[in-house]
This record gives sequence, C-alpha cells and structure tokens, in this order.
Amino acid sequence: MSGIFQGIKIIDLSWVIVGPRTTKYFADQGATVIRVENIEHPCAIRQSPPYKDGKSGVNTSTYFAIYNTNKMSFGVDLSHPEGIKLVKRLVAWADIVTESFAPGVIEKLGLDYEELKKIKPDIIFLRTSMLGSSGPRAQVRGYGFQLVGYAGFSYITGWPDKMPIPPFGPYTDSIASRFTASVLILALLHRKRTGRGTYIDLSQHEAGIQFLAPVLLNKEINGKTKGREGNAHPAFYPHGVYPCRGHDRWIAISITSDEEWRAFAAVINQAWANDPVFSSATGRKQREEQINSLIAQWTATHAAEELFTLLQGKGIAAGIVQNGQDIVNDPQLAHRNALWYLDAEHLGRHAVFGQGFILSRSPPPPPRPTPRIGEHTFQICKEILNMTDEEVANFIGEGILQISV
Amino acid sequence: MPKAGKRGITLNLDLEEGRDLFRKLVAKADVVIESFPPGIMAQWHLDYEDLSRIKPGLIYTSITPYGRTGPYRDYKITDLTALAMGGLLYLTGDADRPPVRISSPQAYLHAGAEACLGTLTALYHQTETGEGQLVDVSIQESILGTTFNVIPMWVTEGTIVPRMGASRMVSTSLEISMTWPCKDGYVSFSVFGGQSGGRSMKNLGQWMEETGMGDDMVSHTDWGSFDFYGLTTEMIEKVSQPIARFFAQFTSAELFEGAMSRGIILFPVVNADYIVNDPHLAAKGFWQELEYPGKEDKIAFPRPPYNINGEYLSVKSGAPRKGEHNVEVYGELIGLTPQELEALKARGIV
Repeated sequence: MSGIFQGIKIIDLSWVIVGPRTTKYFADQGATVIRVENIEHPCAIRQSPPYKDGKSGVNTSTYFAIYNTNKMSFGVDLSHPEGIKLVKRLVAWADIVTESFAPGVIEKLGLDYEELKKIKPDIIFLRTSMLGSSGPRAQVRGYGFQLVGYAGFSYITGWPDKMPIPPFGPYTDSIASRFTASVLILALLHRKRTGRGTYIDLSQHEAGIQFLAPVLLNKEINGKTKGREGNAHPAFYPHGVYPCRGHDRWIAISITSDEEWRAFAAVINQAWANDPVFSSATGRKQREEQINSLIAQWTATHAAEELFTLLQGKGIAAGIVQNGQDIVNDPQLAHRNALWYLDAEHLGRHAVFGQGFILSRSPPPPPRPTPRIGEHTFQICKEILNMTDEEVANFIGEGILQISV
Repeated sequence: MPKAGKRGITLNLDLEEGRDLFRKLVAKADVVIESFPPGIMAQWHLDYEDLSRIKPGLIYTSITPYGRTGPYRDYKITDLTALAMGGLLYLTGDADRPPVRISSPQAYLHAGAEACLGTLTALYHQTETGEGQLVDVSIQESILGTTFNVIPMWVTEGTIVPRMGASRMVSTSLEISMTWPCKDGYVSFSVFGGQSGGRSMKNLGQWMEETGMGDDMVSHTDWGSFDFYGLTTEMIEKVSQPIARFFAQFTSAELFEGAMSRGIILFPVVNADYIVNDPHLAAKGFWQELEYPGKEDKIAFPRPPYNINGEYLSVKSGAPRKGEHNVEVYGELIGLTPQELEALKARGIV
C-alpha cells in the first residue's frame, strides 16, 4: 500500500453519496477507510442500479462501486449496545469519523462528537446533512434529489416557457462532497500543527448555494431574480445546443467574440452566414431565434464528432453533448486515465473514477474493488480490535457483527 | 464571490521585468494556481519546472479546459461546452427538446472545487515529505462527478441514461417525477421505496387521508418493503394522480411546512428571492455583511458552508479592487517601496 494518506484512519458511518464520496478521496490515496454498515439497513446506493447481471442485491451495484473503492466494510448492528461499543473501540484507533445521518440520530446512538472526544480527544468529526445540524429547519430529512429544488437549482434550469427541471441526479451531492473532502484535509493539517481535533458540520444546502452565489448576489446587488433561460447566454451569441445527424445527437456551440463568429461563418460557408447584419454581437442577438434555426439546419447534416473537430480546429468552443457511451469512449478522458476498469466477482468488470486532477508525483495506487457488505468484519476484529476467533464468532452468532454472505 | 477574502495585485507578465517580479513572489509562495491555456506559462518560462527550481517544494496547480496533455489539450471550452463534454448536459432537459444547462455557470466552479481539493491533497503530501508537484486539473473531467450512475449504466448494462424533463430515470424501466406543480409554484418530491422513502410515503398518505383526499394505494402500500428504487412504473403511475391532485390544493410553503412537521421528504422549488430571505439561513447567521464597491449599504454574502467547532467560518473581506493591495503585497513579500512601485507602474509593469 502507498498513497498520500497512507496511515490515516477513517471510520465512515455515512451513507448514500456525500459522505462515501468524501472518504473515497482518502481511500483512493491510501487511507484506511472502514465503512460501518448494517445488512438489515443497507446504503440506498447499494440498492441502486445498475447491478451485475441485472440482479439486484446488496453487493452487486456498480453504482455503489464508484464511491467505495479501496474501502473496508464492517458489518455491525448499531441498535445493539455491544455494536456501539465495538464502533467506539474503532474510533479510539481512528483519526477521522464521518457521518451523514439526519441530525439527532448520531446523538441517539451515543456516537456524537462530545462522546467520541472522550475516547479520542483529537478526533476529527465530520457530520453532514441536508440543512446542517443547527437552525430552525435542521430536522428536515431528504436527499440531494429533492434538495436541488430548495437550493435554487431547479428554478433556473430549463426553458422560460416550461416548468422547472431538476439538474440530473442529486446534484448538490456532487458539490458538497468536494467541500467536505477539502475541509477534512485542512483539519488534518490543523491537527498536525496544533494537536487538536475539529468538529465540522456541513449543510449540503449551503454547499449547493455556493454554486449559485452569482445568482444570489445579483439579487442582493441589482434586485434581479434569475429565471430559466434555456441555453441563452447574456453576452455570447449564438450560444446553444444544436441537433446533429443520428438519434439524439447534439453539439453545443458558444461563440464568444465577433472574430469567432467570422471563423464560424467561414466554416458554415453559406450565404446567410456572411450577412453583415450578423457580424456584430448586437446584430446576432437581435436575430437570435433566426440564427439558431439556421445553425440547426446546418448542424443537422453533420455528425457531432465531425463538427467538434472542425470547429475546435478553427478556435471555436464546441462540445459534443456526450452521453454515457461517449464519455467511456472519449479519447481525452482515456488519455488522462479518467476511468479505471476493475474486475471483482460480485461486480463483474466495471468502471470507477476518481478526481478531476492529476498529481504529477503522487498518482493514486492501483485501486482495490469495492467491498461486499461486511466483507472485512472478521479482519477488522482480528487486526484492529485484537479479538479472538471465538469472540468474533460469538458476536456474529448474536447478530451484533455481520459478515458478507 | 469567488474573489472575496483575497488580496489583489496587478502584474504584466508579457514583460520580462514583470516575469522577474513574479519569480520573486513565487520564491515566497507555497502554491501557484493558474488557468492560462496550456503552453502559455511555458512560453514565459514560468511553468512548473521553471518555478519549482526557484521554490523547491512548490505546488503548482494548473486549470485547463481538457488537461495539459492529450488530444484535446489545445481545445477551447465554455461553461456550456464543458457541461456537454463532461456528460451533465445530455442528462438535463426535456426529451423532446435540446439538452439544457443550468442558467448560471457551473463548470468552472466544479473545476475550482476539484482544484482546491487537488491543491490541498498536494499540500498535505508536501507537509509530510517536503515534495511539491504539479496538479493538473481538467475542467471537462471535473464534471464527471455530476453524472452519478451514468457511466456504470453504460459499462455494466449498456444503457444510455436519457434526459427526462422533470422526471429522472433510475433504471431502464422506471421513471419518477421529481418536480410537481402546486397551487403557487412547484415542489421537489418523489415516490420511492426503502426505509426512508417508505416512512415519507406513509406520512404523506396519512396527511392526504386527514384532508379527505386519501388514496388507498398511497396509504396502504408497504413502501418500506421495496428497495430504494424497487418500485414499478405501474405503481408510480397509479399513485401519481392522487398525489398531484393533493399538491395542487396547497401552496409550496404550506406543503413544505406540512412535510417538515410530518416527516415527508419534500422541498419547495425556490428562487433567489426566497433564498436570500430564507428564515433557516437567516437564523443560522449564514449571511455575512461585506462592503461592495459602488454600494453604500453592505451586501449579504453567503458564508462558506461549514460550521467549525460551533462557529461559521467568515470571509475576511469582499473582492479586492484591481491592484488594491499592490503596495501591501509587494512591500511585505519582496520589500518594494512605494516609490519603486510607482516607477514600475510608470513603465507598465505593475
């Protein structure tokens, strides 16, 4: 084993996406991350498609796999006091504890920061929830899927003449998990400098709102409430998504200057494109609808890949609207090894991915596949908790510890 | 907002004298972050290799459209095209219209978040080993995390996840509405199973019954016994109409209040006006008053989303004006006097 965070030990009580994606950054760089799981109440993502061979089950989701490489899974029943005791023994060994229950749950379990500090005074404790654990609405439960509405994303996504559209998936999860991972590194650096632990409470709502700061400040400063604007841009014309040859194929094009427009018009090479009325941004703005429909007629006769190469070759920001298959076949992402392919009996051959950055000196070590639920219970009991085979067997017999089946 | 809490200086890197000043600043720095197109810093002899000789252990974070190497390294990017190439755009929008973006730019923020994480990861390594490195951030790649199960769906199942308007597809056969009209707008809600989904559905069923709008299937299905996504399209279709009729009777505020007190997973779809007045955020002290150029009154800025040891982090100051801290920074870091700075300014270097 190697990696930047080798030697860092994390007890991960979190589930779904924000917490597990946070600890994945550390696991992929060598940290020992133990996911505390319960077979009776498996993580929602363990129950989310796709599954190996299309068969649902707690161990076969390759969606779960993308967030849980390099981790260990410890199966334990937290509704049993002995289960809590075992987790506390793990906390005494750990550097970081993460959890993402609704506020109040961790306190009920007796695994809250105040309790854990008694066991490990310099513990770093991260809790994350929908709206944070303080404030009048702290008790609200939910998922990123619904939170996107309350964080302001749905309202400004879609077309002015139609109802709001949520951005795909639990969008705020993709934002919050970077804030949480970053702050944990800061807490590790702080502990190194001062010897002190840190309590961190992150509201996924507030993390999401950071990505709408310009919209909020526009309200504060100019009194403007942003609505849905389709693909229109306040300063670039044209700026849109145009159909290409084939089924559901599209190219996104942004013309950011008059110079780019001239280059674009030369590529189109049709009389209308050279009309001087379009040579200025103002002229193009006034006839945006007309221009968009003329561009669409032209793009529809070409393949998206062909237009992408052609336009980028002329210095124009064009992008294929890539679907899952396109991403997997993208030569640039392949060049950067953005996707890693792993094989595991319970998951089949599957793809995982990590971070959007490459570290020149410290690339992550080759990943180990995502564990089955309870896969490492026995190993953790033996190697970390120094339990005897008999003790472990007894706990398993009483249903307090669980092993993968 | 992304510039709040920073100090701002000016420097003309087109001139060799400017680049010399930059090298002197780098000698005092831990981290350099730049977002020029690939090759520009090398042309100036200010690339990672050049600067790490000046400051051993330097962390150099480079943010580029597609990464510093590879077939697309010289290609241009905008928010729209980054979302397209990173896979998010295809997934958002109505099936019968072109894919559509979020109306406020997102791609650069994802890249910034990734760059922050990469820089801190490298900084951690540096404090452990003394070694610096190049952090090569791709804006395109930073979008991949927003595609959730889309890559697994292709690799494992050969399924292309489509866009579905106000619904989302969670498997090849299941479509669930995520945005529902109500009396005065919309709410975010979905029918789903599993433990928490089951509880939420049961509580909704009760509320509907209390108002005389009860529905047998909403109330008497054991939603908790299904997987998170283990419902059938038929079940969802059957309960959607009574739920939609129920939501239509109430405002989004009424639905949210009711949902909060009854344990139903539902949020209102809100706009900027709502968020800046949100009582939860206000009570928590989320907003921080900062001066803003050209405004007499202070402006409420969102704080970083962390509560650390019981307190919010604060932003130190608003965004700097251009060159606001020239005297301070050049003075502190490389000992330039205000007179020397004036001379540099006259020659167009700062």
